[in-house]
Amino acid sequence: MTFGIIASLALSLLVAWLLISPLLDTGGRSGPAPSGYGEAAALLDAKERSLRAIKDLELDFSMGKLSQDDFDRSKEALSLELLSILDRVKKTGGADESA
Amino acid sequence: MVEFGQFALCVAWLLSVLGVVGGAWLGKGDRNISSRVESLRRATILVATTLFLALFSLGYSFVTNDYAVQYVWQYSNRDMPWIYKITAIWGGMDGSMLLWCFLVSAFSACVAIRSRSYPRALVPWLFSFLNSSTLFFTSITLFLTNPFRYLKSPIAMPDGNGLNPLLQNEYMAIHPPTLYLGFTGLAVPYAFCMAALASGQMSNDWIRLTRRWTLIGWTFLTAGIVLGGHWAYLELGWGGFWAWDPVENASFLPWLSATAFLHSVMIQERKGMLKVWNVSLITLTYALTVFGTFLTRSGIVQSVHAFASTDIGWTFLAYLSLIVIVAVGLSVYRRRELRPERAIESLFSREAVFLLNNLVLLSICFSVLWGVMFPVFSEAVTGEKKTVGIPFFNAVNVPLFLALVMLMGIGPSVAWKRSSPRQLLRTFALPFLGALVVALALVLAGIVEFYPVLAYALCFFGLMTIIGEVSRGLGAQRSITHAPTWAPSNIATLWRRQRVKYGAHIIHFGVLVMTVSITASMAHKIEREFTLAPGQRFNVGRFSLELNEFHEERAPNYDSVQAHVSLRSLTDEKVLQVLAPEMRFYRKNKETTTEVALRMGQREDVYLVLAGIDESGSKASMKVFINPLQVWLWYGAIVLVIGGVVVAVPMPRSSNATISAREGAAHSI
Repeated sequence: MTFGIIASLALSLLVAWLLISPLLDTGGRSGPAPSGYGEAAALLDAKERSLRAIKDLELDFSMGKLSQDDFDRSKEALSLELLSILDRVKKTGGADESA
Repeated sequence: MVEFGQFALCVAWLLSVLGVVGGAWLGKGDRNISSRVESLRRATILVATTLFLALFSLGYSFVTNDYAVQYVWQYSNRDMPWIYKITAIWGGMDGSMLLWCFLVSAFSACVAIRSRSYPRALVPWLFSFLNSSTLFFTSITLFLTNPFRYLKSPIAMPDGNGLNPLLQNEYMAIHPPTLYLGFTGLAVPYAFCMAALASGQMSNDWIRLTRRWTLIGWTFLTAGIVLGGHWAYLELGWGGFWAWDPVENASFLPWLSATAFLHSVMIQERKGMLKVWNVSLITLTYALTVFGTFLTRSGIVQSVHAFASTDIGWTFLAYLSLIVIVAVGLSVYRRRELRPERAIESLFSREAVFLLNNLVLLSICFSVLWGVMFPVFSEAVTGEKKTVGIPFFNAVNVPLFLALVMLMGIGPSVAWKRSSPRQLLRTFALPFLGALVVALALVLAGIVEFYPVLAYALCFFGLMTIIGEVSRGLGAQRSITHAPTWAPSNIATLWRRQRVKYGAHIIHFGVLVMTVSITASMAHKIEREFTLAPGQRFNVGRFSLELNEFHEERAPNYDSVQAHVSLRSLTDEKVLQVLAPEMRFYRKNKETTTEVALRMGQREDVYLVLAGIDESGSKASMKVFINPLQVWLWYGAIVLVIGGVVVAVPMPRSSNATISAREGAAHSI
């Protein structure tokens, strides 16, 4: 019984200390986190996807899963898509995205 | 120690309340200060720590035979070996719920430990949803199924009731925890998904993270299901490993939806499609894990694996409803971000095959769910409880599974975006011809049943496509390494560059091996019943069984009688093994169990059960099963789990590590 009380008390103190100590430390405090999925993040994702799609296409072609015609047609479409994304990235460039 | 366990459980409950409320409160951007999030992170880790202490306290009560505690008294006794005193912690409902709480909180703690590299806006919501799972299960444990309750008895109990003899098996140490790890691990993807929807952090990051955590849960669930099958095979004595029992099905349902998600998430990651579909699959998977728990603990269905009927079922139904309402609500709220970025361009594309694979997996899921719930529905409609048995599940699911095996072969070999029919013909001509040759050879060998022939042929088709994929990958790699196609350096480079892709092929290979074994055991199994006196023989398959003698034994908690049976090969009369099937009588529980004698072989298992001994004690009734290729089911499962680990373990250049940097980049475009 005594052990139970001492152990419970020790656990309470430890939990309280571990929870409160970060709140007392003002040294490393940083500002609020940016929230949401803004246009910049969406463009970055689109760019990543587009680059990956080209990489997948080249891999599929090198593995013989695509004919030359299919490869050329798809690569052209994907390249145009990437260029359009890069163009939009350029237009958004430098803008402060926080929404 | 019991008081301390109870206290630790209360602290865990309070901390998880803090996690849920604090996470939701900090979720609003301007309150998301790093010191507060750090405090929340610690709270999430502390929930797991305190639940571990509670679990340890309960274990201590079992080991020290503290029969004042009702749960310990109910599931343990002094004669039980210490290992079963430990496993008895999860032998009943109350302790198993506590274990469940600990495991779900342990997963949450693992996420919390790694959370510093996750998108900041996501993290508080992530903690909120992770802790909500823990809070639900901790609430049930604390208020409804508390394992720390004292026995209401005026006198001290000298001994306990003891654990169910069927659970006194070494698999009890590993099967339930592994299965629970699978169930609880699948709470993490749900939390990620809901956190992404709540925070609006809908970038590719959460998809990558969710996929990894789903793979971890999925791998544990796979291992847990297979271990359960192996346990049933060794312990239950009916010669099989899967009986479409409601509780077995309950573990299989989330496995099916998680498998569907693991395929469709690749399409979202690459093409920005199927976003709502993926949210639905994650929600369905988590809901099915909770549904499985409800099924096992509510007494709504009859099963050898279920816990006794209780009145906590309504809480699970309420939580299930909440899960779905939250998911639907957040999906509607984020409907703009969930719009697909493009559509499937061609039916001859990997996207289309993966979608088809999803539909087949969900069809199996629905048919199994229908079979499980049919007794409940039939009772509600007609007033009479009707059950569907193994024939229903086999009739519906065998063709669907075979379709899945075929799609498994086709999917990885089709290009993303589109393929021309001519190209597909070139890719699949050889595997198709190979499968045709296998089918013809089997028919010529005398195997004429439709499904077995189709299953073996499709497995061969799948194998050929995997070999073709590896070979084509190595061929393409040659332009970089300039080494011969099958040179070790070429293979090593390919492995390094595309480990996840080839890990998936390992998983598919494991599934093929398991399919062959399951087909063989369904189609070519031999089952015989016979009675022998010492010196008599019985022939079955290519074996002969001769009863030598009976042997009696007294163990600490049971008495047993063994029949010593010589297993001979019919061809050369050589004794291959002396089998010793056994009947045990557990003195405390007054229950009799049978222990199977098994000779595992690469070609077949000889599975012998001592069904009874006549009154004079001179004749034994026995059952023998010849299970062809059975051992390959376990080999296939091992391969499958290895594949899961290969895919789940992060690549050296982890995506997680780049997320924070990426987040910064997004804001500085």
